[in-house]
Amino acid sequence: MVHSTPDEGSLPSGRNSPKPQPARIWSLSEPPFEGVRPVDSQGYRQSTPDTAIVIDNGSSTVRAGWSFDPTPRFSLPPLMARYRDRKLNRTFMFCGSDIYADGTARGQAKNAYEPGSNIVNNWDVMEGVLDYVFIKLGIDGSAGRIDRPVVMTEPVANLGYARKTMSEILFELYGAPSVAYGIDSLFSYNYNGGRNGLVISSSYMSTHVIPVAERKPMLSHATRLNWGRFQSAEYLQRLLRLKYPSFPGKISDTQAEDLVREHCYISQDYESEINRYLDWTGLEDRDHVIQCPFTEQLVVQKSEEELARAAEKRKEGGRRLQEQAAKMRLEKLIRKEQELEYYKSLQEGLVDLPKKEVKRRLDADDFDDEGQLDRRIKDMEKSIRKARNKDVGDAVEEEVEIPTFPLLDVPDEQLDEEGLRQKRGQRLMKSNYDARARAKAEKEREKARIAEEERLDNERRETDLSGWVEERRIARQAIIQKIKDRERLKADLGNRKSLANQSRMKAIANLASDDKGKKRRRGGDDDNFGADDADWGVYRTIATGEQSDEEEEEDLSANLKNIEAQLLKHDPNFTEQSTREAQTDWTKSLMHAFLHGPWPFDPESQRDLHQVHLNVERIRVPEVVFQPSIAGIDQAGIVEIAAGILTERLADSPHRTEILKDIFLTGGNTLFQGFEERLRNELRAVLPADSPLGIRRAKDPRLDAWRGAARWASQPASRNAFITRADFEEKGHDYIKGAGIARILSHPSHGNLAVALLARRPEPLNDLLKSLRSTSPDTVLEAFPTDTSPESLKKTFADIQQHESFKDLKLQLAIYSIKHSSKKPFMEETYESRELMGFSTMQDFTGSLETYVGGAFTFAQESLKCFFADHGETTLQEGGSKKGTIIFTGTLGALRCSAQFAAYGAGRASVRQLAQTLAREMSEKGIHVVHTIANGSIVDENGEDQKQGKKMSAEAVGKTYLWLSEQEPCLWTHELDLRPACEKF
Amino acid sequence: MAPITQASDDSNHQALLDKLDIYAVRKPWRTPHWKPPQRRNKNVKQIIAEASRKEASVMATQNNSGTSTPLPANSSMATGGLATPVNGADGNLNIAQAAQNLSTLVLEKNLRSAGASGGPAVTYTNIESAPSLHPSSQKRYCDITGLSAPYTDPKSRLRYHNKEVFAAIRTLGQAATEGYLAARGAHTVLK
Repeated sequence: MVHSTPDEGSLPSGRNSPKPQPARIWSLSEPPFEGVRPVDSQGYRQSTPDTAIVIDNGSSTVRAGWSFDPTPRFSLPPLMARYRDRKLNRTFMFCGSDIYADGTARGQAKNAYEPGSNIVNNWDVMEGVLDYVFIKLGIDGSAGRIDRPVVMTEPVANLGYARKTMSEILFELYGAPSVAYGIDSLFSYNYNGGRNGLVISSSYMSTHVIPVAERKPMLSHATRLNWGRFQSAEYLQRLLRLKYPSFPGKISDTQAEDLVREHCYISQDYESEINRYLDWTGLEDRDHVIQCPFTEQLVVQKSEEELARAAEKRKEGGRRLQEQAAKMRLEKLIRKEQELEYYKSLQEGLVDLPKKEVKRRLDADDFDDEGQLDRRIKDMEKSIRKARNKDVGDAVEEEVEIPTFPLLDVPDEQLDEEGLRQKRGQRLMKSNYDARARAKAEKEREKARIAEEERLDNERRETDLSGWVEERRIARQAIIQKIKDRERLKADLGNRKSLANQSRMKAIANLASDDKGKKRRRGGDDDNFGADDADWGVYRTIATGEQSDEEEEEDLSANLKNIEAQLLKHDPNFTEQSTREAQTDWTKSLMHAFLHGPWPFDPESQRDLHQVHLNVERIRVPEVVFQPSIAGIDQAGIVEIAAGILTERLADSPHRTEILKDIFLTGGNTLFQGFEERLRNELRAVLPADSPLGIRRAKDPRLDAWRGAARWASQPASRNAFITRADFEEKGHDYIKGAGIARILSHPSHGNLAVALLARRPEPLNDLLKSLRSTSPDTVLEAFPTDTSPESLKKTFADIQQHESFKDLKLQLAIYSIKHSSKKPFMEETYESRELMGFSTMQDFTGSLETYVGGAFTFAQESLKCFFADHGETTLQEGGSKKGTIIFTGTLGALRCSAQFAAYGAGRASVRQLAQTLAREMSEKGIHVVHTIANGSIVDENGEDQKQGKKMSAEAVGKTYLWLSEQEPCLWTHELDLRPACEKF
Repeated sequence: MAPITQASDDSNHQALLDKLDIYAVRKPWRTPHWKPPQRRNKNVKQIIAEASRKEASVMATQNNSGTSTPLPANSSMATGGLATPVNGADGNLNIAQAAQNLSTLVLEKNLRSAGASGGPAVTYTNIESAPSLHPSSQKRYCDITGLSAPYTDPKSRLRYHNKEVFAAIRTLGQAATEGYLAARGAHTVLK
């Protein structure tokens, strides 16, 4: 590399000197098949039922291992291919990088995540991936389920549906005893010892910014930017497709990702760097050449020797032919000479003979008279001389004797028939001769004219140089314009809608149509096409493609060269640089630098055609995280987001200074070279001058999320955050179902009741409370975590009475509404009850009865105690009023029970009968007991399903319960069938 | 089935596939009679639409509460909306109050008091970053080369760096033009 300054690099012509061949040529990566992964059951053997399986469920890679592992045991992309091979009549299922081992598998592979988002939307694939994880972790599965807790990462603010479906799979399909979800970037932050900080996590599908204070994420300030490594790769692919529209190779998604990873970096000063990116100086270092595989077109190269031999052979053949011809000519010549001899002797012999004898001899040889013989001899002599000349090679130029045409001057009357014929021949010959002479003269004149023109031109140049130059320049401009016009026309013809193309089509249609407007009469078939030479021009205008203009183009460029040569010679201002060739030289072309780097491009070479040059893309692609508008993302870039959080949203936070000191980078997309520095510089620019600023990167931005999750899972304190299978089965994914009912009851405009909510788990209860309070802030609503065991229920009732919100308030309505579902083939049903993770479960038959029916019993008893305590014990007959209402929410299972619902049916029916006996006993004491049969699902929302009568809304149920509680003793509903309009009976 | 990895022919490729296949592997921990719910694969659009409908129904209730329970103007302040920086200016609120109808006012206040008690529920949609207000989002880059773009072609709406790029733009077909616009998110979407 010799040149370091632009001056050095450019030749006097103003062209840049071509660079030496690229120092390094990159190639595309191979499909990332990682080989067969053996089952690793060592971890399973080492684990106890409390050891969690930790799965970092990322959208680029799923990493899995045991909570005691220092690093994940393995990782795989969330891909699955499942297909049936018809030939083998067998179904195949491949997961992770295994799909790259086979073409069909690769074609069939699907991603668990919706492309471009961090939401799982293909659950079949997700199942396959989890299958793979559990197989490779060597789970025994003798119990028919995964007997280890699962810790899984999920995106920030995961959608309810995604989490619900994931829980459904983990609990119902795999039978996991308990599951915990966490956010990957926070696990990573935790692992890196963060306490107060701003987590900036740029990962595969999205980028998140989350402030953390005192180890608690402030999720309400969390912000997501929909851009990650995946989008970068996609963007690069899109740019390359546009850059090389006719690129013959193919760059797959994984290859594009590798290209981004390997070649892209974050520019420290994007604006100025991108504008200098295609400069000639140093372009060879900035431009990365990626060579895609190609097949060289084979041109059989003959060796020098072979070529020589072939030429020799050809020559040999020619010589032989020549020899033959010469031989034949010689034979002919000899024959002719012999003939000549004969005629000469004939002539000699005639000299002294009488006329009669002469005539006889001449007649014998077909001569009319002696003159004819004489001519014949002359002719033959001439031809023999010619032939001899040719053969011998000494071409003595025959002096051109001006032919004479004597007969022409003789009047016709004086000639006999023979004479007339000869005269005609001579006249013909004369006119031929004259024409040749004229042409010759014409040529001479033309030559003279050109010489004269040149002389005049030179004269003019010498007298008026500027005018001459001006003229030439105009001519040159005209030719250039013509060339450009032709190029444009060519381009226009490629565009179907262009004017040029449309007029061409019109011309073709006109040519093809038979009648040109006029009706032709019979016989008048000739349309006169071609009578005028210009008519043929129409074929010129409709012809496209290579052959049509080539000649003319050649002509134009030859003309141009000519004029430019003249200008170069005589115009002092016209230098080598001003020639069109120099101006359109590829080394000066920005587009060439963009497309092909600082190297020449040969459109014939397969090697060049299969090359991709990465230059501006190297900083353009990763820049999007900082300036999303580049890729048309209408969102703020990470610096703006981070600055907004730090300077505005956290303006009053006591932890702000500490957060500023710890800006934490994690996720694979932050691995670009220069990311940290750029972020530091830009943040520094927007933050107040004196504020402290610390930026650090996770020790391992890719694996730390998993490590954090594993470390967290192995801490005993994390146990509380697990959702157990029992929870799931009892309450389902939708804890908040009770919310709608409670909202209506407590709402000032509806029930305006003080509501005490009882539920088994405190966290969802608190969430519920928060949401209820936010929607109706003036209601009285308290939550009491409890389970259905007699002791805790009793304690809870006592607590409620003690609570200051309920002081002096009387119990009016008690609702027992518990999700209880258990479906199991009867022979698999187990009898005994047991505890799991500290809770009794509904897993078993007796356990189910105990929790559900036993709970109903205690709940009713405690409620009744309350009613009597609050309202006294006077019966209706004694003049007492209605004391209150107890509602049991049942289901159809209480009346008719489907197969495999033994525990469920028994429980539901029991509670129904409990309600009945209570009603009989308590009604006259003023207690209204209701059993409702909720036939269909109740959800706390008011959407399409509710409008169309497919599902009940919790609020509607709440209103019904309110109405039930308001019934006076003159009419009491005991059993009520609740169903959405479209539920089947 | 084309073998992709090197050093494999038909026979050992099949053997490799047999090794990789997990369909035939026994999975005892799967509940055998479990059937996934029908149509559980929803696309993101659908899921988000459902989620936001759910949110909207909560909002609607808030709205109702506004019409039915008019509250004195300062009550929500008393319940704890005090410290949030947004509603620090009481005067503004009162002026705005006159112009607003009661229900939206109550709605706002409810939201604010909710903010004081931990903010509105964090959802997938509402953590999305807002459009940029920074002037740098107005920077223009050449659609073809990525360099700075002082010009815009009025015909194709493409931004370009210099006249050479312009000449290249003019030779582009309709599809390529749209492609470049799409890369910047400025293409025409027909619905």
